[in-house]
Amino acid sequence: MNESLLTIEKVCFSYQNSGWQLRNISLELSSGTMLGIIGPNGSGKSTLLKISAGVLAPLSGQILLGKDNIKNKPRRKIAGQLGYLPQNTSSMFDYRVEEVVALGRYPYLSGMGFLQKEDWQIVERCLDQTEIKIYRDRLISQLSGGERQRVWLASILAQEPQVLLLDEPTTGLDLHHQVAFFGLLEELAQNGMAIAVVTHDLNLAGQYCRELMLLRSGEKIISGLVGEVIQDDILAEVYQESLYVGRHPVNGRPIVLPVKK
Amino acid sequence: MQDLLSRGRWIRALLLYLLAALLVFCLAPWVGGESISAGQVVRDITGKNAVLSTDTQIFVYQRVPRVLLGFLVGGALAVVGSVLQVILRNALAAPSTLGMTGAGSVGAVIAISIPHLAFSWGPFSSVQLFALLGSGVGLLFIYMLARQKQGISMNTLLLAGVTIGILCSAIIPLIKYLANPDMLVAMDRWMMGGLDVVGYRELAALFPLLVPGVGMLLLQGLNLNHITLGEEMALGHGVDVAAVERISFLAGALATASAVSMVGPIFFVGLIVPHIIRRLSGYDQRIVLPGAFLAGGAFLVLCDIIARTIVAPTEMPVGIITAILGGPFFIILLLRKK
Repeated sequence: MNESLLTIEKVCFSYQNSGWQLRNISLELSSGTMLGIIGPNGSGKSTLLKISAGVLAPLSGQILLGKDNIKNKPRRKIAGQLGYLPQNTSSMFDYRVEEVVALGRYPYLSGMGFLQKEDWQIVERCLDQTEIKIYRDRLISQLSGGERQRVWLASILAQEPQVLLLDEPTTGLDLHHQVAFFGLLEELAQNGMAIAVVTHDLNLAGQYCRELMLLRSGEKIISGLVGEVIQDDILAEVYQESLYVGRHPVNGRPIVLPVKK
Repeated sequence: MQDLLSRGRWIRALLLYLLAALLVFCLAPWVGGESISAGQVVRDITGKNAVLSTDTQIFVYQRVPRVLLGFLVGGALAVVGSVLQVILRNALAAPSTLGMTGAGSVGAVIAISIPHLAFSWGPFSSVQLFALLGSGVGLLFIYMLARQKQGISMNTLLLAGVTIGILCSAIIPLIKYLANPDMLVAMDRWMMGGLDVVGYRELAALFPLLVPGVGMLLLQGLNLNHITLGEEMALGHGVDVAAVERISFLAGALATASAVSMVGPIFFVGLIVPHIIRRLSGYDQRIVLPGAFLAGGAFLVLCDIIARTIVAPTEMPVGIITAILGGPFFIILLLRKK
């Protein structure tokens, strides 16, 4: 089996002045996997991702990037191995697409941070990978939501990470862009990346992820292969809704549909 | 907007700003309420005369230190304004948003209100020391309010700074009311901001605080570029956001407190100059910060030239000029954006 690129061990967390807690979550992300993190609102998906990325510090437990505890690792070094796409992305100024992607080279820049030839080559590669090369000179405000998400992804890929953590990257995107984005993630995973995606869309998760982790109220309910997690009784219990779980007629993967009462 | 991610463009833009600032810096000491003979000054300096003519004395001990002061203070205020507009994510942020200006003014006004209080400590006068103390108290207050487990909350910083500013605006009239009426003129004059300085000893008071403060800010250009993408995105890219915000806040507070203690509150320089530089050179903070320093310095020096020539032989406080010029400038800027 592949080695674990990101290991989360028994992590606990709670926000100040709130009773809610993230309790004893452990997970392993190995190279070539795409893990979907699913669960109702407030289940702790985003929080778990933030802790995994080192944005929040857990109250107990540890996060290992490769073999190193990220608590003591300098941010630059973390960024060279792990890319994090937050849920809310915005920009104070209207940059060009190419500039945003170039910013992702930060972990490798020194001094005033001017890019060298090799850096620009990597920027080119990321623009290619995310298929946004034709937009390189456009301002990010001129792009659609789907195109903009690709720009953020390209910017993170410029860090040359081996692990990718994405927080609801396709919320608000139309079907075409959702499918295109997940297709891109699938390709990256096939090329060796370890990816964890928080998503609300159970069907997208079912189609593209290999493994899933289901959270509720800060606890892990179940994790495993897609077919093991997407079961009607488990999901109905967690989402408090009657659901129908079937098989996709084309590829046999599980699909989830609500049942109107 | 221009792409400034190449070293060549950066150097060229920087050189342009440097040239413009140098021009102002070299011409400014020759202009003033009293006309001085350039020939006489040059002869005195090059001839190394033991006894300097009045013209040369004015040039060396009044004009040059004043221009130097104007440059350093104007530059510092503009850099602080640029940094604050990024970390507070607010285009209207200015050095006074940190509350240092208000708190320092309270300190200074208290010092002026105390009769017979005239001492000095090193290069600092009593008014300067009290102003620095006032800023220090304000800084502590804001830091206590805004600090979190990891770093400083920028939202709380903004609110706390504005609140301190408002509080101080109320405390100062109270002090003036309670003080001896003879002191009121001195207090008012201080509050208008002025670059009148004689000799170089007072300038030395800037060096322990203002110069390191500005220096630390000028190094944050690349980090600030990332912070404009949001704190989480910047963290993801590898920027130590908490450290950058902490440094920016403390260095900015230091530089502002130092500037205010020396010249009193001067508004609009720190608010407007960053906008102008961003319009001229784009958003890359690696050019905005040094550009703002050079342009802010030149701007304040130019305002001071007006201040000391427009009602010659007397002088106007430079704070009035920056407000008169700055206000309409800003309105034009806003109208253009529409």
